[in-house]
Amino acid sequence: MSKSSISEFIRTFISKLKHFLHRHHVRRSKGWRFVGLGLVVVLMVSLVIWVGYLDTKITRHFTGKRWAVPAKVYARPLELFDGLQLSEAQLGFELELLNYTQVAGPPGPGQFQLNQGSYQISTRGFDFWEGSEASQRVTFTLRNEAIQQLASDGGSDDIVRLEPALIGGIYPAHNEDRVLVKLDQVPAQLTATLLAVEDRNFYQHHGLSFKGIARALVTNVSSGSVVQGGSTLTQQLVKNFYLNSERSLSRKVVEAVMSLLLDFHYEKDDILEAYLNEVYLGQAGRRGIHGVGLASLFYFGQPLRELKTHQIALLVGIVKGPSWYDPRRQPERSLERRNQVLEVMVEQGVIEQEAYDQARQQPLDVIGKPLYEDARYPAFLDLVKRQLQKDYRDEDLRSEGLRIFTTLDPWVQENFENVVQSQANRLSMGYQGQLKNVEAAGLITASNSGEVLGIIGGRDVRYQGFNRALDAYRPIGSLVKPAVYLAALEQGYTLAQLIPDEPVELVLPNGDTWSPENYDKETHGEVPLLIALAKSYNLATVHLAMTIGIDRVVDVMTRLGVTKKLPEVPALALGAVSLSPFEVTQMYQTIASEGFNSPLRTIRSVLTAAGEPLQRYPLDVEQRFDSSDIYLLTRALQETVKSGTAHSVQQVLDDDLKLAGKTGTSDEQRDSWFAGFSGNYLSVVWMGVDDNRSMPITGASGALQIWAQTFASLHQVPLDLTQPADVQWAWIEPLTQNRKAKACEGTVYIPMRSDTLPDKITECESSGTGVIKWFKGWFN
Amino acid sequence: MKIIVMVILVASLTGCASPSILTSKEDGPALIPVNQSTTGIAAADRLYSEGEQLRQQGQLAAAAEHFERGLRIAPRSAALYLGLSRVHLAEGHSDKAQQMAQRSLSLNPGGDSQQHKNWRIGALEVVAQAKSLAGDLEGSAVARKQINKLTGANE
Repeated sequence: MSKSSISEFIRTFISKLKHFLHRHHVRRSKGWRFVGLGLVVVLMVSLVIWVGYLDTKITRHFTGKRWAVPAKVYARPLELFDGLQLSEAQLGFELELLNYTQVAGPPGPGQFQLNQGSYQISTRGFDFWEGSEASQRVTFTLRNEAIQQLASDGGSDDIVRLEPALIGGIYPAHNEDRVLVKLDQVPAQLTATLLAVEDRNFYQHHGLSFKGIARALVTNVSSGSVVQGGSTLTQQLVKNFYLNSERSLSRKVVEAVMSLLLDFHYEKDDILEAYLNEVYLGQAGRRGIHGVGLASLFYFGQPLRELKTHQIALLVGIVKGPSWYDPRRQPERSLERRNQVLEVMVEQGVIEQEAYDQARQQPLDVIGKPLYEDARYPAFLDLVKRQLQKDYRDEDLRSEGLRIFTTLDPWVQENFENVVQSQANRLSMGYQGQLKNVEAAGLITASNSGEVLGIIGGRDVRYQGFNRALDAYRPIGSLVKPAVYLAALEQGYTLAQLIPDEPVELVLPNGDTWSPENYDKETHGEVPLLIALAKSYNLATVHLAMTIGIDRVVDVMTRLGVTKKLPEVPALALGAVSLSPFEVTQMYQTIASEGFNSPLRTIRSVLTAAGEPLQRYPLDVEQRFDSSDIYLLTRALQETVKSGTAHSVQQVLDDDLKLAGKTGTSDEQRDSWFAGFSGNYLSVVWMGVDDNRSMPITGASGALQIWAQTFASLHQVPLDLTQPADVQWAWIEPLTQNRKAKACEGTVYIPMRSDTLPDKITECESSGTGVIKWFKGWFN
Repeated sequence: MKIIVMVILVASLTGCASPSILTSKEDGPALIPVNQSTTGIAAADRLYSEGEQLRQQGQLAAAAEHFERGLRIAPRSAALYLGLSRVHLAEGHSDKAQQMAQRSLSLNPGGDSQQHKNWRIGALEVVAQAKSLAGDLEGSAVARKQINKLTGANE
């Protein structure tokens, strides 16, 4: 029942009473005495109802779930170990991302020391999925961009993790943010300081403290400023929890009654714990920073347990006015406030004089910027949310305080972003402005596992809207060709098998004639399968697809990981199917993982707010292709980079890396694609214009450039393929498909599936005219 | 243009003096380093041995976490995939156990060192048990034959 309904009830009651007296001719004087008595009764009843109402309000909210805590999303932690390839630039970036500060002396948590290539880093400690890792000091040297002589005082000299960067959250509608803490997780010094400054009689009073009000009055008058507030912690909690910011006498009365009720119902420790989690301590854009757990990360980049005396004093000092004492905007004012708190701490015996002297000398120690910005990696966060929504209700993501550990590699992501922006800007400037609105999107994954390391949703990498990596469905052009050739290899084709690259005309079911052309508008006669793929010949590919059957190509694409229904039409062989960069990445992931399909993953594990393991998203592999067929296909894709349509990759990347890749350009050059992988990374890049217009660039002159520059900015492991047991190398003469005992003119040395090897081995012919004959046949 | 194309094709196909990958001298099986190390990287070795301990103690989720963490460091380690396959087998996931074992075998198709043989035998053992668990006794027997071939045991 609300206050207004209570007054309405009283008014109606009096009116009915008057009516009753009038009807029964009660004498005026006697009647008014009766009315007076009735009013007292009514008021008493109303008071009881009102207090009961407040009591219900207090207990209902306090006993149930008190806060909607947003899910927190973390990047992958950087693992440090001997042999890790790590440039100084990357290490610098990672330390800056985590707000580590460089110091000259021995580093404390969140600090590092650098001395002639030798690093000493003191980690902050973190609660991982498998358990807590305490703060530890790790030392190593960086030589030739690799970690050497790693040692740690934390018991592990082989491997140490830095804490993962917080990259965002999934927030409730009211945008409050907090990290819940239990009272026993809060340093005793912090609670003692809070009570000394805000409410010294907390454990003695009953929710209100007249002594406190009197003392605050005296202190404030004597110091000439408002040093202490008169409200108890209970009152402050009631105000934040249940009431609005209205300043009126009636609200004060309500606050007082509710404080008494709260104190009556609950233990002091419960009230204190609630206060520590509720207290408003700052603002990050639209989001309010509530509770000491989050404030510790927000201001110091450290978990609460790591805070030192001077930081605790600052945190307690901020309670009085988070905006007025904002240490980032008002450093002098907040330093003064911190020192006032330190004085209270020493006066009240929370700290000794010596500790006070030391703490007072300390700087504010606030990190330059909070540990994360929500809008930093919006495209990645978008995919994380979509994958989470398969398993969690939106409401739970926004309220249960889940901790989501993802696969994002911030170094990979940032390098990808930088390259995309610089390449897109470069293209925008040239081509007479035709590419002014060119867009780009793509993904980078760990080539062996399908973990997504970085995503670009568009040129404006911080834009939270249309995510082209997931939602731009565009014709994939020649990126489809590996599926055609893989289908052929499965059918027993060899890399040396000749296929005709000759004009083709197909009558479609609607009566139209389809006559595709090669990009160079020429035909190339009989070409070995390997060359047809490396050179991306359209005519040879269509002939091949028609021979083996489009249904087989569809089947291969489905097994590669395309889940949507694909059209069984001849034009599919040339990429007349629209897929998103995400879907194309899934296709190529299966090739890069040697025929084992692993669903692309962004989440490794989820913990509850209390740090309990909730769910793991394990590595999943499923063999979809014979390793030998994928091995042969990958050899052909390596040849594409070596001498085919993607050879310009080698202008920026060493050919010893043996990279595999494929260019793609859709009809009328509306889309520019590149997909490729090394021993450790896989990436698919798309470029195009949102309105689908033609562009003056191809896969090679657009997307390939982004791909290659991004790969060049990251440490690459060469693509050394494991040769399957049923693959053998042989000298084959493509023109005759004969197997030769050794190298002869006109032969090629190729890997073959054992069951496709010709049984008969012939000697070289003496004339040695094979090559000439063959080329004659080709160019005629 | 034709001349350039011809030069590229000759370089790609004729082999003898070509720098093409297809004629590279390093085309033998890529071996996992053979020494006392399991994965070739000390950090991944540690995660492998800790994962094995956890698996034997029945802490399967923690064991899997260790093996996967190891795979991020040594992504082509047959031993780490073998560890994962054993975790899945212990969890009763016969399909996943087989898949992980097959992945382990695909990364370790050859190599005559005892260590490599042991991993192959281990992976085939997982395949045999997983198939048996799934009711595929014939498939299980095929895997057992392959094990016997490797161990030299009489069938």
